[in-house]
Amino acid sequence: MSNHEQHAPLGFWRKYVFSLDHKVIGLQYIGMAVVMALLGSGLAMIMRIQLAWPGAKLSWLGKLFPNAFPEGLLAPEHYLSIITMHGTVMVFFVISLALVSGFGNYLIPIQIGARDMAYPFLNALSFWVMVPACLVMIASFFVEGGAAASGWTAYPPLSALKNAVPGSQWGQTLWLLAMALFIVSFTMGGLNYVTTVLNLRAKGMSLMRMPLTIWTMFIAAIIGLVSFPPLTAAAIMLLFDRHGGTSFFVPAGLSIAGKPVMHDGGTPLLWQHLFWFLGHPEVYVLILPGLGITFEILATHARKTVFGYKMIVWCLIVIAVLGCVVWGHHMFVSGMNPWLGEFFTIGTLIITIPSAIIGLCMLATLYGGSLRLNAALLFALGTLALFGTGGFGGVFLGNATSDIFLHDSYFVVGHFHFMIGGVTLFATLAGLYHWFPKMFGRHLNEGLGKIHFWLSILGFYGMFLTMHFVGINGAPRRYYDFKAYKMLEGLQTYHLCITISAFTFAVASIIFLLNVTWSLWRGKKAERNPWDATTLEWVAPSPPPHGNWDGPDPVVHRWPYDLSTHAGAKDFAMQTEGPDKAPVTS
Amino acid sequence: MKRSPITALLLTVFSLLVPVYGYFLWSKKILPAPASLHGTGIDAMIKYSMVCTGLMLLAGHVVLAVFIWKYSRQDRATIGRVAGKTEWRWALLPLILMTVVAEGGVLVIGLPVWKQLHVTGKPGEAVVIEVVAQQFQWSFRYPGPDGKFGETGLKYATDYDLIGVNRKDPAGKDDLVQTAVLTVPAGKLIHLKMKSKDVIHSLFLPVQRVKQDVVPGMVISTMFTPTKTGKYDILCTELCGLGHYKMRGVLNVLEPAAYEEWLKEEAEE
Repeated sequence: MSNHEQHAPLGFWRKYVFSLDHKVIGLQYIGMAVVMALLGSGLAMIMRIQLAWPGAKLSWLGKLFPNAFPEGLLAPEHYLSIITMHGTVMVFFVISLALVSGFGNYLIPIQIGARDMAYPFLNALSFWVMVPACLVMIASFFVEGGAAASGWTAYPPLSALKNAVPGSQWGQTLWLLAMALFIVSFTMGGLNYVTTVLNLRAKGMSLMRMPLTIWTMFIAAIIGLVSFPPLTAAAIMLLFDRHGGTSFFVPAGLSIAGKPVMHDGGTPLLWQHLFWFLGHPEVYVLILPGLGITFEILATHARKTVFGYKMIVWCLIVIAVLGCVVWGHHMFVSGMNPWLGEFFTIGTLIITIPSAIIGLCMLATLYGGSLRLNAALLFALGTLALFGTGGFGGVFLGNATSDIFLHDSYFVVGHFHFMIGGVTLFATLAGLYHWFPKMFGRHLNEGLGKIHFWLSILGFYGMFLTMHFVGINGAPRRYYDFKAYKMLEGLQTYHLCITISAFTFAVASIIFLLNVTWSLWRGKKAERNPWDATTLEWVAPSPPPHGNWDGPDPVVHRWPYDLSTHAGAKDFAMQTEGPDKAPVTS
Repeated sequence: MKRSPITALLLTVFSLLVPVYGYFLWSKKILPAPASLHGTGIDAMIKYSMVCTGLMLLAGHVVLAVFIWKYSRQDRATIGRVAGKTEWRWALLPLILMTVVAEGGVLVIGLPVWKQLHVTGKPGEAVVIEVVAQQFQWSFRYPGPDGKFGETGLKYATDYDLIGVNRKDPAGKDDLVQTAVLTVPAGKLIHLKMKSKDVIHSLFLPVQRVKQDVVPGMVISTMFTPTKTGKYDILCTELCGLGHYKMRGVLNVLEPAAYEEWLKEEAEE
């Protein structure tokens, strides 16, 4: 791949839009995720206003969207569409896109010493399938009945029968189409990741010399390839149930509002199994790369080798394998066989062991280090803290006995926001502060970065730690309001606190976007290796050209965490430095 | 190297405040104490997990705070790479802790409670009640003196009988159907047989710590023994459509004698 003619200068369209360069595609993914994040967070804000001040009139929204907000009042059907779309957009079209597709595409080739992905065209195709997936998802807001309203889990029969809820008309159909497109795109990306990592590593880059970011992306891609296709199948089956007259998920003898339903022979539990067969591994597809990025940043900015590198790799593999066989812990109260429930409980709780080891390794990586408390490290420390706190919530939910009470309550909402919301988002932000100089040749503003961090972490704990206890006190999720229940009245202050925290978080995010915009043009110029980091991308110019390195192909002589192992003036050795510069330890 | 003493101080303080805030939230009890036999077991399970993870959370945050405070003040790392053996030895700590806390908790406290919910008593021991969920209403059916449920069908449903019992069926003649209010005797094992007419619902009795999805096409059983009399909320905890948030029912727990009297009165009506 050292042939520079493959990476000749191109015109604007081929360079920035229909590009085959993995870095441009990575940034396109991140850009698309930012746009979708604006939508997803906007929906969250409307949801939070309703929950803090039930029945509040928002005249400005009423003027903007007279159909959705008659006289500024949010109707229950739109509340359901909003929670459904918030969940779907955030999980699949923000976190997956930014963290796995965005950072994955940007970092995999450049960190393993390849000049591009194994299949650059497939890579571009994967992005251009994701664009219609996003557009179809957004379009569902504008069809009759509004966007899908059966929750991001889309349990049938609610999602199968058109008259079960207004969002189950065309909105649900578009939702299913968008999800199928998403998985098609994600599968193409995953194939590319696995092939690239296995075949295109630079000379000397053995598997055990790969940065943990690459390990986690590699494992996440494999999990994705194993677990995502069943949902494509399920989505197509549900489409057939909705439009083709089949009955995969709808049993006989049902009636909606007194009218008989013309289906028979299916079972709703089949969908739940297929959905969670994707849904649970999806959590690891998102969290693992977040952990990899965090290790990378903790090591670089604490000037320390990663503690327990080999152990971490093995833990990741164990988590990946177990993560694919414990989906049933989402179904403890679903009517599944109780014996199966105990099997899934014991399996799920085994995962706490490798997870706790990873947490310990993160903490131990800081031990004896020299912490540079910049925005990147702050967000990485935040990820570490959220991973611990959120992980402990899993001990409650993975256990069938406590899950009976906590299932479908705000405890669950708090827990998964810590894990697939917090760990992943904080890792993404840490990654952006860390790699922005490489991506754009300029630094993000540190002062604004710190303000961003503090407002974010305060807002985050205010929202989601509080939610755990709203759930422990009995409040179910997906409720439009709680007025009917006297026993839940005492929780209204909590809801108010959560909403205020949510707005704090929103302000933080606006500050971040302003910082990005300003820094793209006015930020401090970055050198090749501003952080004294060790991995291969820091050998390339900032930003790297098409083809990544201006010189010959990089050759790797050591593992990626040779920090604090050398006595000279320089406390690190880059992966490309030969044994003549510093002794090779691994 | 640039120092950030204020950031270090803030981070240290914040790390210590997180467990404090957690403890504050945990100490405020809004949910009433459990009013069922197995409910105390569920609360014990939650409390055990909360105390164990709370202590680990506190320990983790103290270590984090100390590390941030101490190591943000040194110019150069003082520790290099440690031997692989040392790393594996340290891994024993989380391994043992999580095995004891997570798996141990399930086996010792969790399993017996799980069993209580799923093992039916001897025949005739439990009060069997049928629960039928539909958008957005709960119906409850008692078999009457003959102890048998009659045939049902959509065509027999009326405003007073959403389940639709065929009154010409001899087994269905004495069936008693109630809307929204589930009346049960205290101190007796209640066996709920649950069905849904349309989408998935979930029966949630927060104070009794009972939660079970009601899935169309299936008959799902759940068992509980109420211990305190009084009126309690019934909620739906599986998204079931527009009225999900107000699909409220009432659980009315009576003394056994009052329950028998109530049954008689209702049968006469």
